Amino acid sequence: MRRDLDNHLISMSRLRLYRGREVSCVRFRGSVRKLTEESFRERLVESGRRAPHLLVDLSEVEYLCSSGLGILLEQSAVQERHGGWLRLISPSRTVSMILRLSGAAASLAWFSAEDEALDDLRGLAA
Amino acid sequence: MSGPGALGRLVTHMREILPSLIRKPEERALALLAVEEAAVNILEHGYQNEAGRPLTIRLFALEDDRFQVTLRDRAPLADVTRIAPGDLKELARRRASRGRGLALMRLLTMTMMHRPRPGGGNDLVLVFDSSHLTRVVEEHFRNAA
Repeated sequence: MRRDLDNHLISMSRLRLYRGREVSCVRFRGSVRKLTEESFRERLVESGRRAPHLLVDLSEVEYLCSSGLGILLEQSAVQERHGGWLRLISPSRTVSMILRLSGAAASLAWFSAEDEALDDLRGLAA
Repeated sequence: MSGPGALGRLVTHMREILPSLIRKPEERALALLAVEEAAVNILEHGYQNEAGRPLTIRLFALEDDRFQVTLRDRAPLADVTRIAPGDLKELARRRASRGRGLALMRLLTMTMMHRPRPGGGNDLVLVFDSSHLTRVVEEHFRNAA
């Protein structure tokens, strides 16, 4: 199974309503590398179009290559241009290490749970 | 050979071999990150994504918990060790989509050497030191705490 996930990326997306606001959630499983980066980009862009606030669950992503980091940062800038944000949910140990090493951690917010990431939407008017 | 699936095969083989050289999974992931970034450079820039071109990867265990990975290609001559790597913090601040690969390779290796090959092509030698990778991982967990 682990070997299969090296070269595959599975995603699941949904739209969540939180305090009157739509939040797009996408969860990935597998690895983001050369072979899967286009699918990662497509799914992020697609999920990002659904709502300005985008949650990206990386808890089951075993690996994130430098292009994958770039894709996340790009999409994060897109969400902000639309008045929202992109936030990461529980990156795996390896992915969080790559995020920190690459400096991307300073530009991407991450949280251990979805509700924690949505906390600051509470006070905002829908 | 370059082309569809080349990187997947490389990753599979590296995953099989690396545990004999590096014990901790986080350190293996970092070594794999550097090698994979080097291989992507060769496939994308050296071969311009052309299929059927040779890419050989050799691993050697060295003394003192060090090991060496050589990436051998027949791409046009390109000495990546002479290219100044991007500043990772600045790239993140600008949210740049590319330009991190070389900087990560430098960060994770002790030495990077380039040798032109007789008849054309490049040998890129990455030397890793397990204790360096350990320090990188420890620093990460210290900062995360």
